[in-house]
This record gives sequence, C-alpha cells and structure tokens, in this order.
Amino acid sequence: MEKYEAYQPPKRKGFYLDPRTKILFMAFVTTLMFFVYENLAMDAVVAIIPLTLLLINRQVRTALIYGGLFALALVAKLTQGMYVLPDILNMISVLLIAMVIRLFPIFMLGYYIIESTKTDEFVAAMEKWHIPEAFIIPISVVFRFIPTLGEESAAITDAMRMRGIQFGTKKFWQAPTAILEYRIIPLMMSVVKIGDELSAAALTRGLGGLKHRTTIANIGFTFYDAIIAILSAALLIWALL
Amino acid sequence: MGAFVGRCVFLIEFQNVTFTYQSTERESGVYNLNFTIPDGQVVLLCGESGCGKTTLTRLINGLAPEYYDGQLSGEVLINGKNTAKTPLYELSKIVGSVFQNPRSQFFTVDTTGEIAFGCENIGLPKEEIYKRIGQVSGELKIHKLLDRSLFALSGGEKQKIACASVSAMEPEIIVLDEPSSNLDVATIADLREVVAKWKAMGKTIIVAEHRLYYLMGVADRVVYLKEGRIAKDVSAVDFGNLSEAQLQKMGLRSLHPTFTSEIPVTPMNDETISLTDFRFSYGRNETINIPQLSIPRGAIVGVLGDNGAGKTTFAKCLCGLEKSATGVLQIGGDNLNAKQRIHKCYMVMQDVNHQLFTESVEDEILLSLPGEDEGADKQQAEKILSNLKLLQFRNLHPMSLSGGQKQRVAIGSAIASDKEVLVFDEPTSGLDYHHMIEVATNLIALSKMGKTLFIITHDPELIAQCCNYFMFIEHGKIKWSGGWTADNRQRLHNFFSTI
Repeated sequence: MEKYEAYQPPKRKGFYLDPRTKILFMAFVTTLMFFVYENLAMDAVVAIIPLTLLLINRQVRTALIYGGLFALALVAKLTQGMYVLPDILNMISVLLIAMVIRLFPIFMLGYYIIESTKTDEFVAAMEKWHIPEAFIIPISVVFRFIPTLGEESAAITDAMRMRGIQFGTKKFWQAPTAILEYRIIPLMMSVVKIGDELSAAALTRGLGGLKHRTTIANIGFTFYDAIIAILSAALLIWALL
Repeated sequence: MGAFVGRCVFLIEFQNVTFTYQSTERESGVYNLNFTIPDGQVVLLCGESGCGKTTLTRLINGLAPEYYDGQLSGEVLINGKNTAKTPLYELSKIVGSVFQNPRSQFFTVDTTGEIAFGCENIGLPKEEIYKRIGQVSGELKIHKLLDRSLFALSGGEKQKIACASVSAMEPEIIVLDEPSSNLDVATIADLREVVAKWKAMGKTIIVAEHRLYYLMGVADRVVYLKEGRIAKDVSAVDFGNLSEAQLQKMGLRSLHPTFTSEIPVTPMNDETISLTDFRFSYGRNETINIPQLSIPRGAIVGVLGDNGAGKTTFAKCLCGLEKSATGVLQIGGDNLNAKQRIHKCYMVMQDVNHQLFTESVEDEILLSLPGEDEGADKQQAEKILSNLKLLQFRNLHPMSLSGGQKQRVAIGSAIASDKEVLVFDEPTSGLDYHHMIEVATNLIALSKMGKTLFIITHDPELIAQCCNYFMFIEHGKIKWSGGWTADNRQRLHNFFSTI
C-alpha cells in the first residue's frame, strides 16, 4: 500500500480570535449594554467593534448595512430635539433607535461569532472549559444547522413563489395565517429528516462512545486575544468612571 | 481498539435474521436471511424500492435495531460478535457507512474537520489523525478539497469527503447505501474508483444500489432481494449475463444503458418556443449565457451536463426564480421576462418535500386553482387527481405518501396552476426500473397535454424512455442541442460512457 505524507494544517494568517475570547467578549458586551445607558460615545465605540470584526471576516455586506443603520440611528438620536413627531411615530422611532444603537451590536457580534467559528474549534474550546459533552454536542449541531436552515428555507421560498403563495396576493388575503404554516411545515419536515439522517451518520462514526473525544482543532490565545482583553478592560474602566 | 485488533478474517454472518420496523416508517423489513459474506468480498445488494436492501445495510452497521427500533430475531455476526449486542461506537471501528444524501451526513462545516470527525470520536491522538487525513486524501485524491467549507462543495465532492471520512477510521467493512443517488456521471466514475481502491485494500464492501452499471467489474457477488427475502444470490459474472428483459422483469436498472436501440420518438409540434439572450451571473463561477435557443413546443428536453455546468441555474432562470436574470422566453406569441415567467413555468424539485404545503392531497391541488368558483375547482381537482392516479389518496396528508406519489402531487399542482413549461430536477434519482418507467409515462402524458418539459437528469434510461430533444450545457453555455439525430445519439453515448 502506498504511503502518503501526513496532513499539515494551513498556517493561520492574520486576525484570529480564540473561541473562548469571542464568547467571553460577547458576554461582556451584553452586560455592558445592559448596565450602561445614555452614553452615546461608548455606544459608538461598542458599535465600531463588531463592525470592524465583520469587515475583517469579509462580511462586507452585513457590515455596510449595519454601519448605515447605525449612522442613521445616531443622526436621528442627535437630532431628536430639533423636531416634533406625532406621538405614535415618536414612540416607534425611539424604540427603533434604541434597538439599533443598543441591541444591534450584540446581534452583530453574535453573527460574527457564528460565521467565523468552526464547529471543531468551538467544541475544542468548550472542552478546554470542561463543559460536559451532553451540552456541547447539541450546540455544535445548532452551528451545523444554521447554514442548512438557510439552504432549505431558500428552496422553500422558491417553491412558494412558483406556486404564487406570496404576501399580498388574492390567495394570501383569503387566509393570511396560512402563509406562515406553508413556510414552517416544509421547513420542519426537512429539518427533522436531515436531523434524523445526521444522527444516524454520526452514530456510525462513533459519536457518543468516549468520555473524552480528541480534537484536531488548534486553538489558543494570541496577540489578538490580548487586544480584545485590553479593549474590554478599557471599556470597563470607562463605564465605571 | 478492544476486541477487534489485528487483521483477522472479518466474516459477516446472517443466521435466520428477521427484522421488522416498529415505527410506521416507509421502510420494509427483511425475513429469514441466511448467508455469509467472506472477508474482502464486494457485494452488490439490489432489488426494487422497498425490497429491504437499506434495512440489510442497517443490520450490518448496527443502526438497526439500536437506532431504528424494531423486532429482531436471529443473529447478525461480525467476526462471531453479535452486532445487536455490540454498542454502535464499538461497531463504528469495524464498519464504516456511506449514505445516500451527501447533505445530511456531515457533522461539521469544513472538509478537514469532517474527515477527522470519526477519528476524534474514537479518541485518536492529533498526530495520528493528521497522518490518516494525509493518507486518505492521497488515496482518494482529495488534496484539493481539504480545508474548505462543505457548503461550497458539489454533491459529488461531498460524497468523496464522506468516503474519506469513513476511510480515515480504517474500518474493515464498509457499507454504502445508494451512494450514487445524487451524483452525476463524472462523479459516479470517481465513486467507482473509490470502491475499487477499497477492494484493492482488502476491505469487505456491501453496496445497496439502484444504479448497477458502474459497479460491474468491481462487484464480486450480487444479492437480489424481493419483498425482504433473498431471491437471487449469484456471482457478478453470472449476473452480468442476465438479459435486459430479465433485469426489467426483476425491476432492475440496465447494466449497459445504450442509445442505439429503437427509441420511440414522441411526435412534436412545428411550433417552437425560444429563449433569447439568457444571461445570469451568480457568485463567481456559475454563469448562464445563452444568446438564442429554439425548442419545439411540447418537447421533452433532456438538460444534460456535468454538475456545476449550470443546469440548475439555468432551470432557476427559466422559472423566473432569479430576478436579476436577463432574457426573454417566447412562447405562443408571448414574450416573457423573468418576472412574468414565474407564472408560466414551474419546477418540480429534487426534494419534492419543499413544495408540498397543505394538509391533504386535494387541498394541494385546490391551492393552485383560481379559487373563484369552488364547485368548478373541486371538479377540476378531481379530474387532475384521477389523471395522475391520485384520487384514492385525496384526503391523505401529502407527507404520508411515497416519493413517487409526492412527485405526482407536485405535478398535479403545476397542471392546476396552468403552467406551460415544467422543469424537473432529477426526477428519477434513486428510483428502480418500474418507478422510472412510471415517471417517464407521466412525462409523456404531460407532453401530450402540450406542456414543454425540461428534464435535468443523469439517468440514461429515463432519457432513452422519454426525451425527444436535448440541450447540453457546459460552463453555462449551450454546447449542442437538437433531437435524436445520429450525431446526437453518438454524443449522448460518449457522455454517458465515461465509466
């Protein structure tokens, strides 16, 4: 039998964060946004962080949309005193502005984490924290399922469009709630089916046998993790002052 | 590695095995199986849909009865060890499994992690896993696929990664359950190569398949199942001597699909439909560029080409699902752009589950009818259902039907919404001979109703049964098109004989 050379993992280039850093940072930002309010400068700084991370991870479109929304919200917030809106509109606008400024950084950070973390890196990080396997595996399945959900959902959207099941058609107004059902049921059907087959495939590859799986993922803290740590410390001090 | 260390004889024995499923799953059991598979043999399991061949593979890899509940009597022994009493993770070290659907056998999202996944589960050290990844990627020639996102791979590439992932665990026995169902002609050839490689390494291989031709010359033995029982157990050489007529009677696919036989050419209209200036770019690689193409109206057009050539993208453009696609479809004096085409074209998807929405078969048809006159709609639905032999299922939930019946419901909804052009994406993948003929009959009936059909397919037998026009796509362009001319016959022959 021929022998082949062992696999060499590609050298990591450029920006990289350890999954543990990402999770801790996410928790930190969430707490920060919860406790600190009426500090627009800090909101802006906190918004810039996920924006930068998204750009580094080449999620340019998302970054642009988010950046645009944030800028709009900021302008709206700063000019709030200059005009008077009818009550209801004012309420909506205050709500929307608060959402974009205070909640979106967290969503965007979450989106970045999901897009930039490989399943095995995540599993390896969790194992370093000695989190039980019974908790890690379901979460890693969620990671695996996010892109699948997207694919399935796109196919169902296509199918619905070809059948003329859309917002605003005559059929739609006859039974407006049905559209939700039409979307959810095929999606659930295919997720259940894929999940079932996936479990079978994973079992035949030995999942669930050992207490401690090994992993080939290379994780570890680097210079970039230190930057995030310093940044967090700075934000914390700023918030406390 | 426990009790299975070393390279001893990996004999598989079935002793009076009967297995029936507990659930109402649409899978059939197996009855009174008595046979042995010696070390290093390549066994092809075949038979009509629902003959129990998938169940047989599950008995070997232990998924039945541990994962799929059921009643088991008798014993399945591997090397003298009872599989039903061996935990799955122990069994996973000696039996590797490759499944039908490349989409649903991945646990990770990147290729290298996927190959490593099984090895990680059995606790191999990192250096050993690296060594094995290197070894299998050399053996299966997949160096180029390493360190990539699985979601960016084609079906064939995904299936190769699935094979590599199994190979990396170095099992002695490998079972494959319809591994070629979602593959194109070129990747089926690759799959054959993988199986041959495993054979050369001395592995015992069990393949349950509908497509038989690619395994001729690799398989040693063919086991034919009928209604859960072994009806024929012969050497591959003897099996190869069966005539086409005998195979068809057994419900099996051809061993040597050809285009030389007399193919009944369905009569066609003089009227044509034409595509003008079809252009679409998608991401970086897939582009459609069709300046002009005329097709006889009512034809059954075989849309051919390798995976990634742009067949599916073409279909989506034709159906108006890609809003930014340019181009006009001219049909019966109407010039339709992408936005208008969605009302005239319909695609029956490969995974037909995506397009069934309602709670009963009848509702599914009614949903596509105009909805102005309830009585007239009901009558119309009844007519459509009876034409498609679906009337007895009208009150059933579409999801409770078999794959072929679901496909007919989808066809029915397309007829109801009065679509002119129907596109079928791989309508016969994973179907046995009789079901394939059934699909062909339905397609011919639709064509007689005046519908123009586009069939994306890798199934030479379906083409021989019903297509009467062809378009061959390569890199998003039409390489050739036309009817059953001598030239095209030769081209078809060349395309399908890469194996």
